[in-house]
Amino acid sequence: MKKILASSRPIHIKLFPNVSLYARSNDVFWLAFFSLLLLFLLLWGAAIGSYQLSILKSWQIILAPELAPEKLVRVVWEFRLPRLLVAALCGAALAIAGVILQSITRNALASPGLIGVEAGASATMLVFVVIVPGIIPIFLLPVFAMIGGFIVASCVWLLSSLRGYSPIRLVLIGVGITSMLSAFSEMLITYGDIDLVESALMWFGGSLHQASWPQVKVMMFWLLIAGSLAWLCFRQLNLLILGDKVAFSRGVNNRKALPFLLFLCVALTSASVATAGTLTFVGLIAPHIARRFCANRHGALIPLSAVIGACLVVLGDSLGRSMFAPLQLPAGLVLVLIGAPYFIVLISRLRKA
Amino acid sequence: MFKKLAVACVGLVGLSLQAAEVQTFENQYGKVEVPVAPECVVSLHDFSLTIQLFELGVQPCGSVARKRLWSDPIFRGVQHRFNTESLTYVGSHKSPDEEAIAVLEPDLIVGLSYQSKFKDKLDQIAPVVILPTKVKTIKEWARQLAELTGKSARFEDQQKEYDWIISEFKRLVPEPEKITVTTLEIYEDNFQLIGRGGLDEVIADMGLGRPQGYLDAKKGINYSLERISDMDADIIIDTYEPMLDSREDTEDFRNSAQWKNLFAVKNDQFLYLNRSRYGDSMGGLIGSAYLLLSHVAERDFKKQ
Repeated sequence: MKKILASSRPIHIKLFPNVSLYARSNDVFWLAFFSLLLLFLLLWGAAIGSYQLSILKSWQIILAPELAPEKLVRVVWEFRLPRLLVAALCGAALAIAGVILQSITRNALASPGLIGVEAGASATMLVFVVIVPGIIPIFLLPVFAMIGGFIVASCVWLLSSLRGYSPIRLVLIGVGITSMLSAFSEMLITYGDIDLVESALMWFGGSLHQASWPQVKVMMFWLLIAGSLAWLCFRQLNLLILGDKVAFSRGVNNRKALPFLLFLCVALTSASVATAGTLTFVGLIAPHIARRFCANRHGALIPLSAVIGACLVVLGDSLGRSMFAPLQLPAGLVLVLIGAPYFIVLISRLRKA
Repeated sequence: MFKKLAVACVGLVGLSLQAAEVQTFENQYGKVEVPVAPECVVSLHDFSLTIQLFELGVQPCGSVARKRLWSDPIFRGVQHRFNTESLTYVGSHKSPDEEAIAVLEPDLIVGLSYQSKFKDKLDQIAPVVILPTKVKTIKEWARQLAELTGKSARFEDQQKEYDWIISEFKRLVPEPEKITVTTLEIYEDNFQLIGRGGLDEVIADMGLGRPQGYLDAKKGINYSLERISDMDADIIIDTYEPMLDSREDTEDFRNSAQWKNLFAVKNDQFLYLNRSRYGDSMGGLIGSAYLLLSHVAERDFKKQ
């Protein structure tokens, strides 16, 4: 194993007759390792909950549902699996969005929340829940939250690129608009009707309580499209992190590449926020953990961050729904509680290095 | 021949009994096929539905409750009135645990209007009936709950007792609209205009008046101490929450000059009641109505 980790020799992987991929053996190793960890977390998550089922029984129900009683199939297939899959997909999407933002802003503190998507989606949700309740059906609320996130992110981009794009301007305008929207949301929470505010607050905590199979499909769609496109841009991201001039000298057109990458980031973030609420901490922490294993090689960093992000949210949600069951703690809350101390240790170690 | 006929008759009776076991319940949230006499009912709100179920004589098998991480669940407004030993905690009203509900194998789940979003998932466990708790009066949704659980006779008794208190009040107070009442909840540095436990519904049914400031103000939002004088009335009713030590926490508010200067406070016409004593139920209406009958109709007090 030491040999694999120490080796920097690329492995040649032939995907299709005309498509080949070169990957470092240690990147492949860590990707495989975290994928197996994710699989383990998913299987473990499928076995825990208020309904007592042994791990073996849960796996049997997953593998051969036709042989299990309908009641147990419902618990595993309708309650647990969609929730676990939505958690994994949202975690992966937010982690990819985090990688993109940290790279294009060249700022280690950048996260999907920075460009206002989260704040925009939250404010939109609050407007429709607290100010004009009942004006749109409940099942359309996430769609409107997504549209709100898109609008705010577009404003951030337009304002930051009016006089030429600069990463620091994007960050500052993002912080400004996010603060403004957060203040607006706070005002609605403080002065809004208490019953209406309560129902919106659960969503803000990053709850996967209402996850269902249609949401799995929606998140799968966004992750496959936007995630794959983001991964295909790994060479541009490798260059962008070195600076605009270096990237430009190597043929990366900032004016085209940046809005496109930002659009992917917004799509991934708003789809996740609309599905599971504010979980954006994972977008900050997952890329930092992944960089410990593959540095800034975006070809490996993007998939590795995605898998680590998925692991974090699945772990957070599984602990949240089982630790004090039947009391359900929002995944976002658990994620911050377990992720923040680790993040602090990680960053302090990096400083020492 | 006779034996065959007897078997056929028994079969037919059995079939008709089986058919009668399910009824269609309909309200503004739609039609639901529900059992006529549900054996295990899960309530998605303790302070209204769970209480009303107990009052109707239905022992729910599961209910949401209030819970802090390491504390036992508290069935608010329920456990000081009814035996909750066999009542299973199934999570919070904002996120009930569907697995904990599935374990109980209920044949009916009842929820509030804002819990419609849980319906799709919970429908897979048992029929879910949403009751119009926020849009209709307690009497209306309690009547629906009674029909749903086959306890209409018990509901009629509750309704009769409540109607008597209201008529007795109106007999003793001929012009109730001339007496103004403000219902509020004081927090550490602000207050809201809320009358829980059916208090606001009772006040409306008794025909009591409200001060203009109260009528103009939006309900359910926080107001600062500055606005308290706008809410001054002949009678002011606040409630304290024993679970939260709110009596002690809000002492500064009640010691303020603005508060002490209110007509109702100066004339000892401020009522301070336990917030969790009565839930939003028929029992709550009856209890609150008796309180007001005693404090308003059966004593002398000053008017502004």
